[in-house]
Amino acid sequence: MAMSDYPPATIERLVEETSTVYSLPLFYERLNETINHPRSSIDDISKIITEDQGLTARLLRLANSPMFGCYAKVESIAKAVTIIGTQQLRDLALAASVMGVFKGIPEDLLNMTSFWRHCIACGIIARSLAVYRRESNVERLFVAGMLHDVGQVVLATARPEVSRELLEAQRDTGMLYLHLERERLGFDHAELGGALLKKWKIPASIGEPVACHHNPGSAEQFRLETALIHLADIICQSMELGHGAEAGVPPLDEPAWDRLGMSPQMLGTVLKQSESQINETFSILSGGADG
Amino acid sequence: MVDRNLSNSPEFLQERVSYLEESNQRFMSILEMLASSSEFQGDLSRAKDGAGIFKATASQLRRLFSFQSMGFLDSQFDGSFELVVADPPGAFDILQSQVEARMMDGTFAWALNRNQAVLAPMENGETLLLQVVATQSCVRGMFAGTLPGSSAALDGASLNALSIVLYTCAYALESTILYGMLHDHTQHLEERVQLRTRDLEEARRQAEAANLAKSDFLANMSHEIRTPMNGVMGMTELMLQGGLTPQKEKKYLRAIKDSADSLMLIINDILDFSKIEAGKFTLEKVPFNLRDVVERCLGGLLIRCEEKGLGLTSRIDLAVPACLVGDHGRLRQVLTNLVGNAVKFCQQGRITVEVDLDSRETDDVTLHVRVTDTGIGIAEEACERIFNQFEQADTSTTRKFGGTGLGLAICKKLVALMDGDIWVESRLGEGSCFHFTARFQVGSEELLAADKDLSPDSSQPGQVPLDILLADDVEINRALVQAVLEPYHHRITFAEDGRKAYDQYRSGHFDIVLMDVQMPEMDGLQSARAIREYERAIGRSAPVPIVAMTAFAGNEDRQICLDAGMDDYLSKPVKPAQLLQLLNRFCERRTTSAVAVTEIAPPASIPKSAPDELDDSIEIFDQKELLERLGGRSEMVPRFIGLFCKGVLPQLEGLATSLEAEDPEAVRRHAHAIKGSAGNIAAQRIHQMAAMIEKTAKEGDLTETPQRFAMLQLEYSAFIEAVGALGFIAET
Repeated sequence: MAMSDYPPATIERLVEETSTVYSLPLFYERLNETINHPRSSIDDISKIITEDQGLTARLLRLANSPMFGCYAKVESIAKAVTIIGTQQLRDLALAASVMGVFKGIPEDLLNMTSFWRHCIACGIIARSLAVYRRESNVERLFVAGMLHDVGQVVLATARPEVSRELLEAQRDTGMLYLHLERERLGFDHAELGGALLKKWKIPASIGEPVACHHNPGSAEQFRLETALIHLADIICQSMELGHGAEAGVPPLDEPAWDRLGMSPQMLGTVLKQSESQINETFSILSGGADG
Repeated sequence: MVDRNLSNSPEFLQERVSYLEESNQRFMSILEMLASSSEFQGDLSRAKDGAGIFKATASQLRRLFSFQSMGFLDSQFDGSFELVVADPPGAFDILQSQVEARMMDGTFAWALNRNQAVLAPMENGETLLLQVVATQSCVRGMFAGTLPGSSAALDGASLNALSIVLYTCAYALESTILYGMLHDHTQHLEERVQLRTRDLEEARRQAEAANLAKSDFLANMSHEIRTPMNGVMGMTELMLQGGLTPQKEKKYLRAIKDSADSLMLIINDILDFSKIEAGKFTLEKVPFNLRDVVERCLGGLLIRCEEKGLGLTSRIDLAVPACLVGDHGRLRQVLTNLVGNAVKFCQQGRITVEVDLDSRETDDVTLHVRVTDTGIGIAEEACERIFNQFEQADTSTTRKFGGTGLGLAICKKLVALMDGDIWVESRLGEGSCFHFTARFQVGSEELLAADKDLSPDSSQPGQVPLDILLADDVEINRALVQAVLEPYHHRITFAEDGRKAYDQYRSGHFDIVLMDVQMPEMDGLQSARAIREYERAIGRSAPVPIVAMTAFAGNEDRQICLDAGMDDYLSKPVKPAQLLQLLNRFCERRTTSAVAVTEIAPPASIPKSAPDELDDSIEIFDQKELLERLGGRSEMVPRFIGLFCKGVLPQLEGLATSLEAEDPEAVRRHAHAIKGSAGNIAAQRIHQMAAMIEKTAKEGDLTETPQRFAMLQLEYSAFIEAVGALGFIAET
């Protein structure tokens, strides 16, 4: 196969190249620090967000969407901070800006609409599962879901022809994209995505689930969150809620399923709750994608 | 705050370092505080209830954060929340009103679901923080705290520390509840163990006592069994020696019979008792006439009563149905036992048997039977004890009155099988009244007629001679049957075991086979089966009736006989009357002679309604009936007649006096007594006349009584003449 004369594609290299092209929105780091500063106030935090109108609009719409169960009207970011919580709002803000980060991806390589639909669905479902289990900080799961397949974008950006090859091979052989990745590259898009997030200094509670979502056994610190993302991704692939490069359904990791300790019956309930949220969230986030 | 515009200036860097140092310090202090929380843990473990745990948690939080006030709400069984702790205590009311406001506007409910801190601004500019106190499985409460100003409340690390402390609080609450439950359970368990130990002690004691009683019983029984046996053996020895006069011989034979009888009683008692104990006892369910059963039972005991000069009367309430369905044999057994006891322990006076209706349902009735006597009475403390097995009221009675002492215990078990109770009311020296209840189904007259074969009618007119095959391995049994049947000119063939019986059957022709069940070589069941097979093989259309003779006569055994191909069974020892009746029954089907098989009422019985004049067909003296009552002992008749006269004469005098006094109740009493005695002696006409007098006297009508009384006296004279003519000189 024509692997060509490009420099060898290691994860480090790819990440290095990508981060020079794309970077996290500026507000994220500031927001993170402000939140962690002992003397900052609600206003301080709100100010950072409200500087970005597009983000503000998206956040307020999200805060008033079915995702938060239509609890009293959230008219201001300050209110959102108190109701949703500072760290949670930060994670939500990140999720709300991710779509705007990656631009200029060729349509024939990766249909971004479909891709983001898949990511939002994964984020919503992972979050719903976490709510069902009475986890705290459920917004973390939402943003992890949003970012879980970002590795595919990295590859498509840094090595478009490799990406194309893999897609063709998938069409021809019917093998899973992720297995083809491992075979041809020695790593998969999960590991790649995780590496990028680490570079972006996104907390490990989000980064590790992304890195390990196709190999839940390799997670060390955040095994539960990893299992949630793993399961949510498989659900989305099975239900064909959007799609990225992967056309098939990856296998379910049994230990991860056991760790979750859930019954198949509840999946139906969770799915039902998530469906309405997915559509609305997608329209909210894609509406301000360019803002 | 950081000003990004001067991102590279020294001031900026200074500020940055400052921030990083402060942050770091904050992280370290939080970690340290969390790590050294032994005081917190200690307080938690010492806390006895929810409030204690909340207080301990509040102190811990005070070390971490600068809440102005803190409060905890406890979740209640009905799902509501109640503020139980406030720190400082003075802030209780403010916190209460704030929380209530949040409940109204939905923030509280939101916080319950969020599982993390939720902030709500207060009117005075402070901020209220709500965070749920919950484990993975259950919400235990809610924490509420106030913070100054509209601060971001808490930085990320502090929020995490808060969550950790509240988790600890939640698990401590859960533990306390579980410990409480465990404690209660343990205590409850201890109480139960104590109770059980007491019960066990009691049971052991009772078992030991029962064992002792059993051993005593065995020792007694040894004696009770050996004594009559010795009698039998001794007497037989003497007779075998020979050289005795006929009278002497008869005397010895009588003695042997008496010994055998009493031995039989004891053996029956023991066997009955064992069978009931082993649970191998089922009650029969046949229709029967209650009044007949009572009459027959008392009739059997009448002799003993008359001998001792005791009165014996019965009364059956009219409400009691005539026909009942149940085990009349066992009912009779209980009644006989109670009346027998009464006779035993009563020296003078009277014994009364009364049957009343205790309750009635659609298909069932419960009878209440009372047996009252004027005997020696029973001590109060013994009244319950006497129903226990192996006990008599006092051990001296066994020696004085004999018997197994099992009678009442057997009665108790039989009565229990009949869904009833048995008890006694008594006082020493004042007589006793034994009560028992029993449940029966209500029968119908038709059932009674169809099933009636109770009367052992010994006289079978027109019995056709039959060819009988008799199989029994015991010589004396064969001899007995032969003795019963020979007067009727039946032709009997003997077989000593089942095989010989089968061979005989094949080589001969028989009308009926009497088959003992327990035999060596081939037993009765096998022989019967063999005979049936043979009959099938040769295609015999009318199988021969085979009647089993067996010592085991329960329902299960009967079924076993029927399954083997037999048609009916007789229980041993075989009663002549039953044997004859059975022959009649089976052979009537084969012979064409018209033999009355079942008779609804024995001939010459007393008509139910009293006509105005005595029917001429009524006999003065029904000798046959009397003999039947006496079990055929004709030598007793003179004595019996003497007793009758002795008893009736004063009654006749009394009747005369009450008639003069015009006292219907007294007339009735005397007439009733005369009626009873006359009935017993089979002086039918006297009986009938007395009955008529009694009837009208009961209604208070004495108009016709003088004429009737005159006739009564005439009948009495006629009776004396009649028995004299028959050769029964009344012994006085």
